[in-house]
Amino acid sequence: MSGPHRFGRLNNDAIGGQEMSALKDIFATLDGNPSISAYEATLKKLESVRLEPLRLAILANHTFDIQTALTVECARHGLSLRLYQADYDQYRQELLDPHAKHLTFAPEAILISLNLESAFPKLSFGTCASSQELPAVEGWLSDFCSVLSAYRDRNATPILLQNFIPPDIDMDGLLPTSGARSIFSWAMELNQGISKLAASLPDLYVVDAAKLAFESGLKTWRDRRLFYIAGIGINPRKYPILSSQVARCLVALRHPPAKCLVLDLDNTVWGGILGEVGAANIQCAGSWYPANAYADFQRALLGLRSRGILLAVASKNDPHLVADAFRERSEMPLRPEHITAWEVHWEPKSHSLQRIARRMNIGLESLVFLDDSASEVDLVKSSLPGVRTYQMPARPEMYAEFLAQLTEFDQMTLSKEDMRRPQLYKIQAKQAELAASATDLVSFYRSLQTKITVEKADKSNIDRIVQLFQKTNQFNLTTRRYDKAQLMERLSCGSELWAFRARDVHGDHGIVAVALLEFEPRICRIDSLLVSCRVIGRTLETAVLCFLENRALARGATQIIGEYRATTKNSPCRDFFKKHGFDYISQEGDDNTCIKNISSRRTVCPEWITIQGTLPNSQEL
Amino acid sequence: MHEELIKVFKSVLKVDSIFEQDSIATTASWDSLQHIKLILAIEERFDIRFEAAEIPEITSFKAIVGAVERLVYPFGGAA
Repeated sequence: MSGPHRFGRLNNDAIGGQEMSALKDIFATLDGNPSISAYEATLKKLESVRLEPLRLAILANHTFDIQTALTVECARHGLSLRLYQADYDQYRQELLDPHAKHLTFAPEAILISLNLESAFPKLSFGTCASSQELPAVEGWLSDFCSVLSAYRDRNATPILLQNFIPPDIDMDGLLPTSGARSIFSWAMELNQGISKLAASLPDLYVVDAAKLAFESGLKTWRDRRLFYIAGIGINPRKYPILSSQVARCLVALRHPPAKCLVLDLDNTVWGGILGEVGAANIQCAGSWYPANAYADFQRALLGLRSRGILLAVASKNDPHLVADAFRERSEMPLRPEHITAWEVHWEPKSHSLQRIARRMNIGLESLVFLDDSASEVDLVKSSLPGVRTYQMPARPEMYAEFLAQLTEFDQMTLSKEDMRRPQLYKIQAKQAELAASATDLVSFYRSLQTKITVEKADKSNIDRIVQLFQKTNQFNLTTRRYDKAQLMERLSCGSELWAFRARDVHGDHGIVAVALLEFEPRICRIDSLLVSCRVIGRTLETAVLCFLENRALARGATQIIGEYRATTKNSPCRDFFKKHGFDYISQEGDDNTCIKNISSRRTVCPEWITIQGTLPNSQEL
Repeated sequence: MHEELIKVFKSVLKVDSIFEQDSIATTASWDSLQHIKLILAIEERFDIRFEAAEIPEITSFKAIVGAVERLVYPFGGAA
């Protein structure tokens, strides 16, 4: 469990250098001896460290005093936990009552922890599956589902649902060996039902406690003494492991994952120094050690890529040798086309990383860098502290597992755009070439044949919209990081949320722009307008504004107001409104607010972009 | 052993000092939930295991010292 990598997401902007070093000291002490008293002592030390607050409500059907461990594990990721713990076994009341106590606490997320023996009082540690007394899984699940859907109808707060830890006592002896159902398989059916339930409701996520229990020994997850005398369902010694997983989920709910993994080649992607041993002798594919371990690591990299993480290479090597190696060793799983950016030369790797970020149009904090060399790792850490940099483990058999536990790439859901991102970035690189070769800009724009489809926010696109609100930095006029709940509230107050899909000669880019409009009598206010960096610089934003102005007019507005709120990253859109015929109402520092009389003049859609209206059969939210 | 026990009490109950006569009734931060933590922390520190029946009974410093001694030195002769 311990190790330097456990600091995962700590490098985020919100934590200052002083807090970082204080935290590192505190956790070095704790991880040296992670005892129950050490966790308590850590809690006290954390009081003086300033972190990002996060409000969590815990609902449980058993005694679940996880506060200390959870507060500590959240702090490890830079979060300061504010906790509301509902009364013992009040989870149904809390979820069903529209005036429940946890609602006044206004949590940002809810954790529901359920204990098997408390959820099924007829079940005991002695229940025998052969006795046919096992409760029906379907009945309990449909009842629980109705409680959760009733809650979801009123409230959009994300819910983390801890699944059941299967019983560790089997009264059926050897009977299940001849095909009889065991109490263990009954509990696992229940957990599968919980996973299906989570998939059927928005913002419901499973914390897989069953899997954690298997990993660290199922028998150790219950302390029957404590269950009998105090109703404690989970052995408190396991709170740190469970907390660590819950903290990962909370971080992933709040912060977007890293976007790109930058890899060294020699002794990282393959075994051996290419320049010394030659392409024929690098360890990268085969059924012998260590070639098989490196090949598995490469497959693990492809797994990340299928989740939308871009792969890039930063290697000090002769580029011709590297090209030859990929060609000659075509049996290795990683292929050149899987790599979105190459930096193969003898320049410092810090330069390579900066160039990769620039080329992909992402920030340095979206990069994770892996290298086997301690000196390269140190150099990058000191010159580019924003990049999350790790040294590979000592031996290749540890590589794939090491990659699996990096928390930087944690994501709670996977959108279609995520899965297609590696292809899309390829397209963008091609466009850069095309732009350079186009004789003039207009013919370049025309050559793209961009088509925009406008959609109202609905169930099918809301996750992607929220993702854009959370992630877009450069073309984001106000950078208001609304989450789903906040957006839903705005919609219920009469605001309009529009999503813009783009297609061009290179393919479908999915939803690339979002706008939130607010209406007052005769005035339309552009609360938020953001465009994905993938499509900046091709006048798509002008077409979007044209649509918004026409929409405002249709709603009876004669004037449209736009705001620009400066951040460290959004200077590319600073003059957006001024360029489109708006006049300043106020300017403060780099911020400005602009107005335009749309009854007299409106933005014209560029002739090279076609824009289509909303789909008629959109599912309402 | 006394010293080590005091350390555990201080960190779990978040107090600056602990005395022989202190108990769940006299120490504000010592409630039934902290009691479980205290018991588990002591078990972990001394690699011992209390019985279910005695956990709710040993609610004073003195009683805990006695219970720990019985488990650490089952044949008597505490240091």
